[in-house]
Order: sequence, then structure tokens, then C-alpha cells
Amino acid sequence: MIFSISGLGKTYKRGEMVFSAAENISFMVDRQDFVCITGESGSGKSTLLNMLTGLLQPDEGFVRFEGRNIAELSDDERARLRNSRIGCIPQGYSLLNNFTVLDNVCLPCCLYNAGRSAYKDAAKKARLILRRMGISHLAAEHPRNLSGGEQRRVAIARGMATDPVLLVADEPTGDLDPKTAAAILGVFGEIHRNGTAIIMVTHEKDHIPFANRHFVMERGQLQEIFPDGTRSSAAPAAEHACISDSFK
Amino acid sequence: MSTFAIAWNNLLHRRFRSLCLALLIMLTAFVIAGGTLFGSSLRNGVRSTADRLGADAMFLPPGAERELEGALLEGKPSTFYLPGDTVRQLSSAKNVKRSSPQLYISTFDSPHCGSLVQIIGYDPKTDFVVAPWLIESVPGGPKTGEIVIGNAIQLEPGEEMLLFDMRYKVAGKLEKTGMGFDVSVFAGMETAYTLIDRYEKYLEAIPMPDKDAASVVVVEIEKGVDHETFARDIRMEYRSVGVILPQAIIGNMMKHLNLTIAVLTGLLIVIWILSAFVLAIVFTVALHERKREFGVFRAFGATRGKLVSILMTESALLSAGGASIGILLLCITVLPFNAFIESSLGSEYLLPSAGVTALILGGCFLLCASVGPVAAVLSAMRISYADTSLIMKEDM
Amino acid sequence: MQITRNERTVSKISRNYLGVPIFLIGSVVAALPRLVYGMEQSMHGMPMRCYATANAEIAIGTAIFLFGALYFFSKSAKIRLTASVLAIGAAVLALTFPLGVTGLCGDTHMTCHILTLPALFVSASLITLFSGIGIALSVRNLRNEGGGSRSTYM
Repeated sequence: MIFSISGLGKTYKRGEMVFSAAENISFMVDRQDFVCITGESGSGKSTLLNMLTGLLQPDEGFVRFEGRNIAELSDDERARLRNSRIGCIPQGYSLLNNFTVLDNVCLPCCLYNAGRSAYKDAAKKARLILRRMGISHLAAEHPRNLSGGEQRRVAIARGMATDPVLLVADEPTGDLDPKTAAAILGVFGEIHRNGTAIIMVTHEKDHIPFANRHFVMERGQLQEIFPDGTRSSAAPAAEHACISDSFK
Repeated sequence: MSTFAIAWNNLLHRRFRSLCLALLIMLTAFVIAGGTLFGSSLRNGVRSTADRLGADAMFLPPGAERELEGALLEGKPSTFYLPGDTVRQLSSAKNVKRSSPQLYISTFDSPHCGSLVQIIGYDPKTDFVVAPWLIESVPGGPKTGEIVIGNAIQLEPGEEMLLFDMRYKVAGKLEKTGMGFDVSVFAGMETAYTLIDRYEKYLEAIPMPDKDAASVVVVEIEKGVDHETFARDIRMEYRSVGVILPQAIIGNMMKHLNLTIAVLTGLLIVIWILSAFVLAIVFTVALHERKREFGVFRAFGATRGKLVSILMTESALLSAGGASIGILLLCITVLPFNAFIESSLGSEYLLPSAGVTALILGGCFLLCASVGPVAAVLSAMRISYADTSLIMKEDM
Repeated sequence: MQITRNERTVSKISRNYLGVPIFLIGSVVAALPRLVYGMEQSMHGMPMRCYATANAEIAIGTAIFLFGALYFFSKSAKIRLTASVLAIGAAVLALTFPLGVTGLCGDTHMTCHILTLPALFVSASLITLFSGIGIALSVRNLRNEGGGSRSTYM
């Protein structure tokens, strides 16, 4: 099991009003899962994703990643966890324009290993990943010269650079045409077949068939939709669940 | 990919902005280093003058005060005399502890002399002003027939200098003083008299009134006697004598100099603060534009410390680069004109020694190289503690 | 290897602008000693050593002007490289004449010492700086034209 989430909750204040972006969310993710979380804009999908990756601290509940409670880790430890075990593909355009495609893919590997030999190893690995993505010819280009689909492939390649156990993608096909979106989803499928778990957040319902588990987020609450169409609450929490208030 | 490589790449990516910021720091460094060096040189010059004008008072012909100041401070040679009787009387005047005569003769700007210089003859037996520091260059002082030259004269010890169609051996060369002594030639009184013998043969010469005449009598006043009162008493008793109080001149110079340097220092501080302020504004605006970029860094696992170090490295590279170019520019465009600045100012200006100059430039470099990091520190802390998830939402 | 847009822009900048300061400073070197600072043949009937220096600087300054113009107009990286190297050599010569070969006046307070020599020093330094940048850019262009690999890591 990679993720075990129990009683996760996050509230925001807008002026005098307090609203729940996430409320009592519980589910588990295994290595062989390709999770697709759908929901309308503003339903709390990105908030959930940020809590799973440690970018946002929940107000209630806990997230256990490979048995470790993320909330108990320091900010630096969460950052290193993201770097080594989780590949993130943020929403929208997330490539760095002042680096080439190759350097963009190498960056996660070189953040904590600055030497020339580390860069050489990272570059070798990055070229392999780019070749698998079918964009090795773009290694020396800068992201602003690429098409939307090519940029998304580079973002995926960067997410895979550190051989993560889990790839987390927030609206990966957001502004792409259907044909390119399908190609990107095909790439995700191949990554999943190669043994990496995926959690994909999207508002496109036609992406659901690509995944093997489907969740719906509505007004901060998460429900799993089974293949026969029935709905239920998220998977039961882990055996020794522990809910705590106001994590900072 | 080191923090340095990431920071350098970021600067190159925004070339125009980086260039403009580096230019700002370059100008700041140029002005601060130049201003500091200028102030130090003025102070150094006045200190050098004070060290060398050891007399409490100097007696000279009335009306020759301007000429003496020109000779001592500005290097403008001149010739003037006090009659021998007056010299004798002054040596035994009331409240005079000890005295010594000096002769001031100007050479000619003609083929008869190597160059236009001030000849200063001094009495080695009684002198207490010139002899102490002449001995530093020539142990025991110059012998008869020998001279000691100022630093600006283009000769070396062992060579000969043409004075009134006669060659005199250069026994020593003084260190740079920033005063008229740099274009002066010092000779013992015996040598000075042989020079005068030859000098008086020329039509343009001003002849000595008598054999015991002197140009100046340098005097040490008895302890406890007020110098101004002493000068007034001498003027009243000896109508045909002018009196200069060197320490009073230097005291005035120091007062004006201290004020000048205080104003200059204040201006330089303001310039530094202004540069830091402008940089802080630019960094704040620039960082606001780059929030998403840093959000992406955080998303793929950069720690907050890493973000801060990238930002601080960028600002340090900018300011170190700008500061070094500014100081280099000062060294190659202004320092070579030091001699011109000295002669243009017409007052005490003496560049400090190479070591002190290097220290001053090094200190200014560090000061200006710190402008960037100081300006960036607040922005860096703010961006590193921003909520990453909210940052990622921006620009969408 | 395909040259990206940035490299083409750099090449154009190098050709159009870098030659300008070199030939401008070359004219300064030629004009300074005689026209600006008035190094005369004689003064008070005494021959001035710096006159020969002034004549030499006219020739050297003219040469630097030509090297700068060659740099500006040439489209070949090899020629630009040669022009830069020659300009540096001429800059060194511009200092060698007043400091050794022909010399300057004996009195260090004369114009030739306090103005002309520092001005020549500044000019020579700036020519060396710009020519040095020209050499670096020309070598890089030659390497790129030859198809050498461009490292994405600095």
C-alpha cells in the first residue's frame, strides 16, 4: 500500500464565511492503482492532491505514505519525500523557460546532487525517458518553442525522472485537444503498466476509462464509483487510524 | 545542477534586467569606491603635510606668505630673502626656543636647469624640521655637493641633476608627500651657497642682499606660549617680518577637510541605501512574477532553504559582478589620472600606499557586493514561506 | 547542429556593435596626443621627446581604427578573430612607445605624463577588453560553425 488517508479535512475562510474544501476523506491507494478523481471546478480536487503530496497541511485527519505520517515530517523531509518518491505534474504550464527540455527533466535528480557526475547520470536517464516519450529530438529546445502536447510530455518526463512510486497529475490534459489528450493518457497508461501508481485529477469524464479506480469529488466529499455504477464512501481507513485536529 | 548553475541560468534568462541591475551596482561601486579613495587621499595629503611642517612658526619677508604657501603646498617655486641682520635678531627673539634658517631659490625654466624646481637649503647643524625626514632617505643627510630630490623629479639616486649649468649628484629621493616638496631639491647650506653663487650670475636672478640672508627662519616656540600671541608680538616688534603659523594652516585645512569628508561620507551612504532600495523594489516585483516558478520547484521537491539559496545566489552574483566591474572601471579610468587630479586640485592630495588603496577598494567591493543580498533577503524569506499550493494557483 | 535563435542574435550583435568601440577608441588614440593634448615638436627651444611618441600614436591609432572597421564589416568569424588579435597587439604597442621606445618628457608634471599617458592607458585597456570579448565570441562562432556540441550544462 502506498497511501492510506483517513478523515482528511481542510477548511478555508473567505471573509466571514468558512467553507470545507475537503471533509472526512478516507481511502487507500496501492501500487497497481490508476486513480482518476473527477469533479467540477471548485470541488476540492486540487486541495486533496496538495494534501496528499505534502504541499498543504490538512486541518483534520492524516495521510500515511508508505507507512509514514506526512504531517509528522518536517517541511524539508516532506520536500525530499516528494523529490524521491512522488512525481508531481502541476496544473497548467509548469516547465521552466530558462532551462532546456533536458535540464527541465534533470532538475529533480540534481536538486540534492549537484556534482558534474550526478548531472551526467541524470542527463543519461533523462534522454532515456525522453526517448520513451518520443520527444528525444527536443532535448536541446526551450519549452516555449514546444507545442502543448510536447510540453505536457516533458512535464510527465520530469515527473518520472526520479523513478517515483507514485505519479500525481493535476489536470494533465487541461488545455489540450482531444487527440493530444488521448495520446497523453496513453503515456499514463504505459507508465502505470510499468509499475508506477497514478493519481490523476481531472474534470473530463471521458478520461475515466483509462483508470482502474474512479472517485468523484463533490463539495469537499469523496466517493468511489465502482464499475457496476454503484457509489460508496471511500475505502475504509487503515487499521490503526488516528485523527488529529489542526495540523500545521 | 548546483545552486550556482541554477542561479546563473536564471540571470542569463533575464539578460536585460540582469544587465540593468548590474549596471546600477556598477555605478554605485564606482561612485562609492571613487569617493572613498578621494576622501582618503585628501586626508592622507593633509596628514603628510602636517608631518612635514614641523615648525611652530616661520618668519619670512612680509608679503611673501603667498609665495611660501605656493612653494610648500602647491609646488610653485619662488625666491625671496630676509636680510642677515633680521635673521640674527629673529633667532634670539623672545619666546623662541630654537630656530634654523632656510634658503628658497627657484630654478629657471630654461636649458640651464634640468627642470623647474624649488631649491631648499637648510642648515644641518640647527635644522629640526627638514633634517629628521631627510635622514630617512639619506642616512647622515646629503654631503657637500650632493642633493636630495623630491619624488616627482625624474631622476634616481646616483644620477646627476643640472642646476645653473652645473651638475650635482643625487644622493637620495624622497617618498611622495603630496606637497610642494615633491618638486623640490634639498641641499645642505654649503651646497646651497655654491648654488646661489652660480644662480646670481644670471640676469633673471634675484640677488641675495647679504651673505647671511635667509628666505625663511623656522622656529620652535617655548612651551606654554600662545602661538597667535607670539605671532602678533613678532609682527609688532619687527615691522619688516611676516609670520606664518603652519599648525594654524593645517588646523584650518583639517577642519574644512573633516567637514568635506563628513558630507562626502553622508552622500555615499545615501547612494548605497538608494541602490539597496531600488534593488529591493525590483527584486520584489521580479519575485512576484516568479512565484509560480518557485511553486514548481517546491512541487518537485525543493526545500524552502534551496529556494532562498537560489535567490540569494542570484542577488550575490549580480552585485558581485556589478561591484567588480565598477571598481575595475575606476582602476582603469580614474586611477591613471591621479597625477592630473593632484595638480588640478592645487592642494594636498596624496593617494594612499598601494596596500591601503587595495584595502579601501576591497572594502568598497564587499560593501557594494552586499547590496544585492541585503535587498533580496526579505523577498527571499517571503517567497520561501508562501503557501505553495496558493502559489501554484496563481497565473492560471 | 541547428543554431538556435539566441545564437544567431549573439552573432549579429557581435558583428554590428563590437567593432564600433574598437574603431572609435582607435581614432581617440590617434587624435589624443597631438590634437587634444598638443604634444609639440619643441618648447622654449628644447626638443620634446613626446613629439615622436605623438607621431607613433597617430600611426598606431589609425591601425586600430582599421582593425575595428574590419571587425565591424566582416562577416567571417576568422577575420573578426584576426582583427581582434591585431587590435590587442596594437593596443600594447600604443603603450610601449611612450613607456620605452620613444618616451616622454623628463618633468612628470608635463601634460604628456599626467594626461596623455593615462589616456593612452585607458584606451589600450578598453581596446583590450572589447577585443578580448570579440575573440571569445569569434572562437565560439567558429566552434558552432564547425558543428561542435553545445553543452546545456554550464
